Amino acid sequence: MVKSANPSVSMRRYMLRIALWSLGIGVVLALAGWWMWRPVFYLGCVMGLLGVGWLAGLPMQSRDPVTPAFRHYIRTVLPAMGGYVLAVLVFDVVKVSLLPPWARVLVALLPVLPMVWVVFAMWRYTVQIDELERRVQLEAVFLTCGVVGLLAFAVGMLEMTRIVTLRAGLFYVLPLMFLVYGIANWWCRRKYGLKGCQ
Amino acid sequence: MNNQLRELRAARDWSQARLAEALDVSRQTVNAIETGKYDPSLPLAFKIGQVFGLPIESIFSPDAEG
Repeated sequence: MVKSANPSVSMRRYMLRIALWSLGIGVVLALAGWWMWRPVFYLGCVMGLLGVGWLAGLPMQSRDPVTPAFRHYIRTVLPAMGGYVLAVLVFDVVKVSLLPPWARVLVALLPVLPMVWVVFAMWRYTVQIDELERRVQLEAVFLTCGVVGLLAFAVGMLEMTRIVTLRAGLFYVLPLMFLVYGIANWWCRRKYGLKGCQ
Repeated sequence: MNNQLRELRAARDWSQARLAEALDVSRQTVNAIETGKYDPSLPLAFKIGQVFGLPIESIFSPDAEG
């Protein structure tokens, strides 16, 4: 396990900083987007809501020092998520149907690249944490695979009967995995009496 | 599994954070072991024994029914 480099910064304070930055940037983007470009307004709303969510979750965070492993993880994931959002905005702006096939492939796969980095950061974080934290990750990932896999299977079966028709249904698998993983991680940590997200 | 971790730590007047640093785990992991919510792996159990200078069977014992 990687030890804390700066014991003065607690996990709660670290998450408070992230929440306030997210809230601030969210408000600025929402205000700017309202006047200029509606997709930026929605992006600002999402970032603002994330900030509010993190603020609400602060009492659940531990007062233990933030570890370099978690700091490293956040410093990798946040820019990658920013890149993902930018790539999705590009996809939204570009008239994909007017592009040649190679450019269509490029624009469509653009948001995938930053997500590769996110998955890599998650794997690296799992390697750096201690055995109990790793066990929590294992259980959370198992639950995530089970829930999302079963859900995808059920939706796939319903699609075959034409009762359900999802446009680009596979697109929702990754966001759903992140959502289920977040809930599963929280539940597994609670089981072992661990506080917060580190 | 039962363990004497809290008692041994208190006898040496160590904080959970200090023990965690010696074991190279998080403070929350030490707390989970002390409260019986998590049984450590064999390598970690040996490391705990090494830190306290005791054999693992004098720190950990099976549950009454086990």
